[in-house]
Amino acid sequence: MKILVDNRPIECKEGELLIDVLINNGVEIPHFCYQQDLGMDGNCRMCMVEIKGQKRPQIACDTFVCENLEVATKSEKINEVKRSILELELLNHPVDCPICDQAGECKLQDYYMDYGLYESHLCTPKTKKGKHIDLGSNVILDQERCVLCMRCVRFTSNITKTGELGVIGRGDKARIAVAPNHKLQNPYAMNVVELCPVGALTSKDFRFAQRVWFLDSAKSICHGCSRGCNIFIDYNETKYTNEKVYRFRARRNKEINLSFLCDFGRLSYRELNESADCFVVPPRNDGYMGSVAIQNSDEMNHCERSTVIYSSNEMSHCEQSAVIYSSNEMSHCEQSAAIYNSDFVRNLLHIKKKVALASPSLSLEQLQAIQEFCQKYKVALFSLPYIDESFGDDWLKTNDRSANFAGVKELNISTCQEEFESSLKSAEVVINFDHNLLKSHMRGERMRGSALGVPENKNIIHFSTSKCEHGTVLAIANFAHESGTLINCDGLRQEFYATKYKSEAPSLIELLEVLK
Amino acid sequence: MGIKVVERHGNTFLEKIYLHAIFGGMKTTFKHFTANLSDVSNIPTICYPEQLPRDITPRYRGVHRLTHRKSDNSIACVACFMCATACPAKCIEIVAIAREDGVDEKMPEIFNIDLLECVFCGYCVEACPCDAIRMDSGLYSVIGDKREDFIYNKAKLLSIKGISKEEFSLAK
Repeated sequence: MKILVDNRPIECKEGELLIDVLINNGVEIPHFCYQQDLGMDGNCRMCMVEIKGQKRPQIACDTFVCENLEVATKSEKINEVKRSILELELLNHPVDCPICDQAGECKLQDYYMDYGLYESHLCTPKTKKGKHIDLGSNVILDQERCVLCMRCVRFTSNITKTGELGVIGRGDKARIAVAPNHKLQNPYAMNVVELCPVGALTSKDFRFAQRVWFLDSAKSICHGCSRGCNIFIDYNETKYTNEKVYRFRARRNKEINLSFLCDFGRLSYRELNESADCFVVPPRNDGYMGSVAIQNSDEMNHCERSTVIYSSNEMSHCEQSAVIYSSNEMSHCEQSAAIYNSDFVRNLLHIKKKVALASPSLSLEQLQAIQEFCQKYKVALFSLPYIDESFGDDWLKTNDRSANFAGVKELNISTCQEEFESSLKSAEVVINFDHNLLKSHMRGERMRGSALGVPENKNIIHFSTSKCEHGTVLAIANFAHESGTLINCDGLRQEFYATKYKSEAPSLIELLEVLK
Repeated sequence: MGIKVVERHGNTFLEKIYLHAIFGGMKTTFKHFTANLSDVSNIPTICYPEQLPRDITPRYRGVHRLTHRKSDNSIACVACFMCATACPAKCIEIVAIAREDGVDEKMPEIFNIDLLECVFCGYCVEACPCDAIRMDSGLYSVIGDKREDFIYNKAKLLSIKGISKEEFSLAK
């Protein structure tokens, strides 16, 4: 079936909403209240179009397409309607864009640039309403900036079914609010920030952190659980700040997360910044620029040194030199004279009886590289899922907190816990590919979820994106700096892409190539 | 095209001994010397930068300053980053924080201008929606011993007084 939009034929299916057809075909159609995953409400009247044969302009979000429909989205009459609607929306708007976090991605700003009436007809003072009200769950409400599109209200009543938000008052006193002595409280609450087309609901977590026009976005996938929600990583690096991830935003995927994310996943961007911070090498004065950094931890015995290895791209693979630093430089200076290089790791790899544990959140490409590496050095490779029975729910969250456990199974990597534990008992060298189980606990301590401790006499090599408490640590890039493929809990194969800045730590695949 | 033959100078005896030209030059020098000596106040040369030029109009773009609010003399800047966005030299560093005193919601925690990188184009002043940054300080030369001296921070920028008659921010 074909319809005619601004004299351009567009292919569509019978019974589709006109606004969906327009949005999907890239026709510019201003709208506040309509959201593809919340459905139509028809209260904002911004999506007015002229339809041939109809006397008055109609809203596109409540018109179903039919044969021989002829639509005009731009005309003097339509613009006049939009200008009047915007005038009404902005009559009591505080116009505090300079302090509004939404500025730059605000629909009111965008539409006013196109259709605005630039002089106010208002001769009385603007109606004052509540500003920066903390609703709970990291959401801050500014009632004056609201256009009453009801997206947030519809989200809490139709999607989460918690119904915290509502509209109180009439006329120009109408405003979004929570019931007295109540808070916005549900594990998906921060979605209302992203749903809000204007600056009425903003994130407390992102508040004043960065202006949005300075941010770059990378298409990625949330690694918080096995659902594999599609996200944008918003990050930047400026002249005065290092690369930093500022927030995750939902990326629409009809098959998985629609336009939503859970709050846990949305806030898990913080881990990406933490892991990047803990591997910064302090500058050295002696000009020894290089790839291996050895870090001494005070808690550790002098002979058990924790090693952090960096590989630098400028250097050829065989000549890896070292930078040494000690966390307590003055008192341990004679120790920091010892220089390790990748030969140290290579020597460990020639010891028999090795066992490797790979994180189930690594991408398929990384897991494949690990498999090849383990085959070459004859290492028994295992992977254990991160199961957290208290995490999952009946919507997006799953109990399996690993991003790619289905991928682990597809590559036939052993996931048997008993076998892993018995191999661990007999092994002399343990190689950990970013698995949380081996990262955090101290030597001799019992592992979480396991009856086994790592005995004193084992050498542990970590390929890790974050800080490890013991063993030799080879820093690798986290998923913000990697591209790869993940398989989610429903067997969907999805790709994610790296941010444009290069990580200080090498990628796991590069590092394994060097060690081969 | 015709060829114009120019007579070559410097071949006469008088020109070859140079003295004639030297005395001609010294005559001009001594004329100015005696004129300046007789009327010292009229010498156009100044001891820059201790002495500043006297012929600069108030519209001239000097070192930036941050203005204050008329109501409570607090900082007028709300850290909207318009100046940093407009700046072609990227010499403005701002870190925003929430303002807790109820006057406004946002203000800069750090506001640094690197005057060594600044090109004094005045775009920051044009971009400011709050009339919070101006270049009417009347300071046209910045002196420092090290690079850090040229990075003006928030306190320094707020302490600079303007020479125009509007002292406070005119933003409503």
